[in-house]
Amino acid sequence: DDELSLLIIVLDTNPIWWGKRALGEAEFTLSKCIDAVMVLGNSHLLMNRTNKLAVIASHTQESRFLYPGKRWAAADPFGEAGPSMESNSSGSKDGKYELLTAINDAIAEEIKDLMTKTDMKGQQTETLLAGSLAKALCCILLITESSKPLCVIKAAEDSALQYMNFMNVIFAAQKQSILIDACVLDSDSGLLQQACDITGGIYLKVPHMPSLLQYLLWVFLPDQEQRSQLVLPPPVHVDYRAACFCHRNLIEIGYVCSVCLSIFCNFSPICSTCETAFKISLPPVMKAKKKKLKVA
Amino acid sequence: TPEMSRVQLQCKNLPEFLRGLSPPTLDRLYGHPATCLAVFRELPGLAQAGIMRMLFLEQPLPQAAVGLWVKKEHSREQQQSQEVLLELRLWHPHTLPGGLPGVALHPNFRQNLRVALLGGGKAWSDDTAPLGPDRHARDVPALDKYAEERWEVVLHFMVGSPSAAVSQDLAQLLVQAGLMKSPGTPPNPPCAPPQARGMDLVEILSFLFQLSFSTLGKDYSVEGMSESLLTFLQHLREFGLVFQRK
Repeated sequence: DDELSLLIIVLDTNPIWWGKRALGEAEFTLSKCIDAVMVLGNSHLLMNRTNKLAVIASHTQESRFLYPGKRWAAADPFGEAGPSMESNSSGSKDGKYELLTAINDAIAEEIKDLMTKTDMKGQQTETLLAGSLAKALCCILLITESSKPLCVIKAAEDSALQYMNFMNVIFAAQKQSILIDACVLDSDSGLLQQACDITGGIYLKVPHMPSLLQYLLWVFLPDQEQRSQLVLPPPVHVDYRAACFCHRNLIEIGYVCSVCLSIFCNFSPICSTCETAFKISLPPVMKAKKKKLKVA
Repeated sequence: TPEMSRVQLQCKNLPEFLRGLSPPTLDRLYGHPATCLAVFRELPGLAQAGIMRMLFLEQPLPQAAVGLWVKKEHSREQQQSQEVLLELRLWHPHTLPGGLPGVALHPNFRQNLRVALLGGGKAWSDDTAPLGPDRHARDVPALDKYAEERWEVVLHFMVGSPSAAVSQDLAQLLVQAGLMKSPGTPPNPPCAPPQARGMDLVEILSFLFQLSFSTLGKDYSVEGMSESLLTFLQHLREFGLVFQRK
């Protein structure tokens, strides 16, 4: 009963995507999104004395723990988190439970720092989601054997470049029985659909962004026991096509290296990933028929 | 009556205790964020989910909609959690315009749980910053030691050790709570309510809940506390639960 229940929220803070939004309609901004995330986190902490929280910002330049941040890292990050005797912070001035005040203030400070002081280097425009998920998985495995599903809030489009890393993370999660939930704000994410399907999490594309909080509380806050009892969004149809390693295109039929399982859309005598040379004898070329060769 | 001759201690859990309170008392009790927080935590899972779903809705929900929340094979659990919510007056039936049966969250509870969650309300106690840092601040091990010492004294007193001394007030309290018997006097009815001692139950409970959400080792102000609350604070001091700095 007094089991530690850890909720990790991974939030897509892609500055380009959010920046474009801010230029368009101001109704739903990163600020409002963070508010909703904090309320979700606070609600989770409210439900049980032993519940713990972590929030990771997934950016184009880095993946950063908004909470527990650097201040907590040295001490016991998931101990009796919150205002310690050393800080003796003035606590809550507005009636908010003081533990939540400390955490919310830390998150606000950290996200401000991330969004205003991060140097945008290079051509990187894509959210480093695979890396953030990997960090989250490590965190879960470090702290506890069981956790609530990893809650991913996705804004920008899928990154084809991260396909392999992403799939690795998904399978690692599945192996550790860690569920991945996805709350998608804009365009559907094939990668996250696969993640939710494979790990058993919930996938939801938010119909109305300003109502994000309500969706988070209704769908993603309930724990495993309540999920089995509540009526929740049904699983979505998942596009399981793999992406070829050469072009990152989704293909239905392709060539697979028998050594490293890399996928290619075109035949090549040497695997570009593991450099295995394929010893096959090609059948004599037929004049009329087209043959598809599959190396398996 | 035969029951009166045996002093009985009734230890209830929080929901059970609350169910025994009168509706007006409960309504007042939900006037503080700490209480709402404590009550919320003691609720079963589905009941908590029910509260969270309604917390940010501005209007009552149709009962029919609520009926769709839970899968049919778990309707029994839903029934049980709804009963708990109704008994604690956290939910109450509310007829919607048009006559449909609906359900609404207790307004005090809703408001104060939101404050505990989001802020936007009053601080639970005054800021201690104006008092300046405590020159004789006790660290956590020192506080633990203090608590242990105080508790030992109380225990020794209760087993009749002559060297252990507690205040008159506390001694009376122990007798009234049915934890001790005063020789020669008839046993009291179980759990004499604090109202009999001139204290406000709601005020005391709110303070107790506030305390339960405080941080070990941190300073809290007693500014503005009523007489009866300060007396209560002294009892807690004697039990070693709080430490008062000069």
